[in-house]
Amino acid sequence: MTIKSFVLASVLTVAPVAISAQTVPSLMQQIDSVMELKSNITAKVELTQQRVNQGTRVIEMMYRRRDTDDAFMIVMTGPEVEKGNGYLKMGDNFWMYRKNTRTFQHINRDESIGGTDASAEDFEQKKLVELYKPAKDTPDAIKKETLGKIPAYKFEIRAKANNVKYPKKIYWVRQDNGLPLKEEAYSLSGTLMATHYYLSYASVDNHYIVNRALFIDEFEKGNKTVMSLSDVSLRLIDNSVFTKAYLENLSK
Amino acid sequence: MKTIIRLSLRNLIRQKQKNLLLGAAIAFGTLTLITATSFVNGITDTLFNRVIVYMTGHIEIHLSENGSQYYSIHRDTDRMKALIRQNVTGIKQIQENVSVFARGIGNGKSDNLILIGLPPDISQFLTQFKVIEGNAKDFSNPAIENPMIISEPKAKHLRLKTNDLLRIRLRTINGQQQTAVMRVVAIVKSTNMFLDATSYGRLSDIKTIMGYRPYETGNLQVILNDPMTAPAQADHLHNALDSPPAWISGTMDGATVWVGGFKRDPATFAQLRQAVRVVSGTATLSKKTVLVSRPFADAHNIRVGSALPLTYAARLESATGNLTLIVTGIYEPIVQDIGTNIILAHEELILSDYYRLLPKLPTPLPKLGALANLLVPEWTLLDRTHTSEEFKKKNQELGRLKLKNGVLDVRTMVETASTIVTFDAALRIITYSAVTLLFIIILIGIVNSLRMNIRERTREIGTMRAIGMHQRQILSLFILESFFLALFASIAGLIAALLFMGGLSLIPITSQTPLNIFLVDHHLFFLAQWGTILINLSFIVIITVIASYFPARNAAYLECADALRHSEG
Repeated sequence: MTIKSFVLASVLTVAPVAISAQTVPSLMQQIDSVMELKSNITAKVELTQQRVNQGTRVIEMMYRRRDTDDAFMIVMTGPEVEKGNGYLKMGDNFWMYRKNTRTFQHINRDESIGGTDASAEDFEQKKLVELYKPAKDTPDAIKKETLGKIPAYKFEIRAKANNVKYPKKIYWVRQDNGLPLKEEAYSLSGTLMATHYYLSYASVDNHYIVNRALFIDEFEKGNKTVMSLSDVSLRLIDNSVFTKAYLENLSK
Repeated sequence: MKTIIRLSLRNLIRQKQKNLLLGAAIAFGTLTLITATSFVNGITDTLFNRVIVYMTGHIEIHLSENGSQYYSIHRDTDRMKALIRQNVTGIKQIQENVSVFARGIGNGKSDNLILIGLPPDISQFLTQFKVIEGNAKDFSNPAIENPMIISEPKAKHLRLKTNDLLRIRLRTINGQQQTAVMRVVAIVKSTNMFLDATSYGRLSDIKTIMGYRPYETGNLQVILNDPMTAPAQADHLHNALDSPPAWISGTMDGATVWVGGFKRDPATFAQLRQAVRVVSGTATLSKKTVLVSRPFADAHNIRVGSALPLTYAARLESATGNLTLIVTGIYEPIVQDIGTNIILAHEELILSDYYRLLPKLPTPLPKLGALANLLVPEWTLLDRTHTSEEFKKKNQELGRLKLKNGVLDVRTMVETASTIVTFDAALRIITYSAVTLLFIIILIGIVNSLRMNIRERTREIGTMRAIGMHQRQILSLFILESFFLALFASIAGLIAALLFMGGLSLIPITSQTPLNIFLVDHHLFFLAQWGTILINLSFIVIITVIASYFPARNAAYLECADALRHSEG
């Protein structure tokens, strides 16, 4: 789990609010508002990926994202073999750039990104409330639990449609401000596939941004990824950045 | 004639030493020709009937949706199979290719797998694989859940034995994460290195795990009696696979209506605006656009903003679908011949419902007139390509188009397995060139020996003429001698070739090189086809007879006195 993990985590930028209405839809809406980035974000990302029998691999990248026109760019900065490669998404178009051949290639939404388990569709902007619904309508749909020492609400959601990657998810969100703390993702047959821990948030320009997260592969025990964010900026990104020319020039 | 035949056979025995030498040369030529052709036939058979058949079939019909090139989904499998049977001749088999890349976790080890669905009858499969552990019959045992046959190298890597469980993770055709547990019922050794990485489950199990419904399948692959006819057959099939619009036809307010999706590209939408005039509301390329004809709107009191609840029947299951559309505009046809009960909606508004519950094909079809090419079809038929380069370009272009509806492609092994096909053709050319060169050298030796033989027997010819034999009888005698010599020698060559090939194919080749792809069960494979052998033998006999004709004719037409006077000195 590499790029996808980062995408999931880095979008958790929020000006936290107190949770008053404790219903599953309201908690889902809170997560959506957390994930909806109304400005721009630039950050350095480091992913430390540990795989069974393969040791540890560190992946570094520069990430820029603008949700207003559904654009983002990833430029790989490490390891050396990946340096200069990149991905650019503008609306419906998704390109992969290879530094060695200096070529752009259209990629499909179900193609793997950078040899990871993430695919282009993971990068599509989707709202939790549009994809999922509460697993239960009963009052016990939300449980109060303590995660570490933090009081949290726990709730389960199920996919509305059959094209959602994880048909079932369980979330733990902080009771005081609605920030997600933990997430479990399940397969169609109900097997726990992944657990995500959002370990710490940083405050940038009155927004909270998750700057450290742990992603555990529950299917293949021993695989895990730690994501760290640094040099975060919410400044406006120039239009010229989200272009092929910009990505090409970076690797010259 | 009987006398001539007897004489020619007697002469063969009489000239024992010379004929044995000449016969040995012919037999060697036969051996070379038969061995070489059988070797090339063996490679072709291995590539086309053991490798390509498992990869792509000779013709492959690929139908994908929503821009995915990863999975093929034929929603109405029986309809497509019927179309194939109607338009392709010489079909040996139509096979459903359902396969998926999966991550498997065995006993403390994990690895990637190619998991392939097999039909209930695996007898054909077992001709390619040897069961080395377990019982292949358990594969068909309904009491065993998700039985699996796994190749020996993969089982070894995952530390699996029979009855062990393998946990797998994969992505369904809809993109969902899925897991399953497979039970190893047999470990097999493949006859070909190419198949070493594969694992097999029951087709029905794999389809269920991957999210296919019973009437759906993956790629349809056609195996032909003659693989070389694949491009022409694919062209013919392609011409018959145009799709009508993806109609959702049902009832609305008691009336039959046809909902068609207009294509979302601006050029086609501009053509639509020339075919119909919006008299109320708006018609834009927005994903929410729904246009109703004025006569229908007037008859059913429909206005802009009205909700249209449509009920329709599923084509392949006993279910009913419901679709509610909100009218954004009312149109009037500018051109004639367009039915009144046609509702035009943005393609993305109807396609997910269309594929979720494939609607019944409407009968009768509505009048479409100028709208015929402006509505999104159930599938867009891609142009045929005949080389791998064209095929690659087509797929790149497809990525740019980002079609939301089904995309149907008819491909053959020539495009999808072009490397193998080209390699086979190159190997054939090299082999036949070498054999031809060798055979020409042998042939020159044969012709020369025949000439010498006949020349040495010139006085004998004079004697035969002197005792009353006609010129034509002498010509027939010599030609028959050559004929029998070639026949017996080539039969001997055939027997030698069969023994030689049998011997070579007994030698095990254990080294691991890419060329192992041509081996069958680690041995060389010769395919001796009787038709080809008969042609080879006839070729050798005819060439020998032709080679002997000219010196025999010269000898036969000598004057009797000149022949008797002939002296070798």
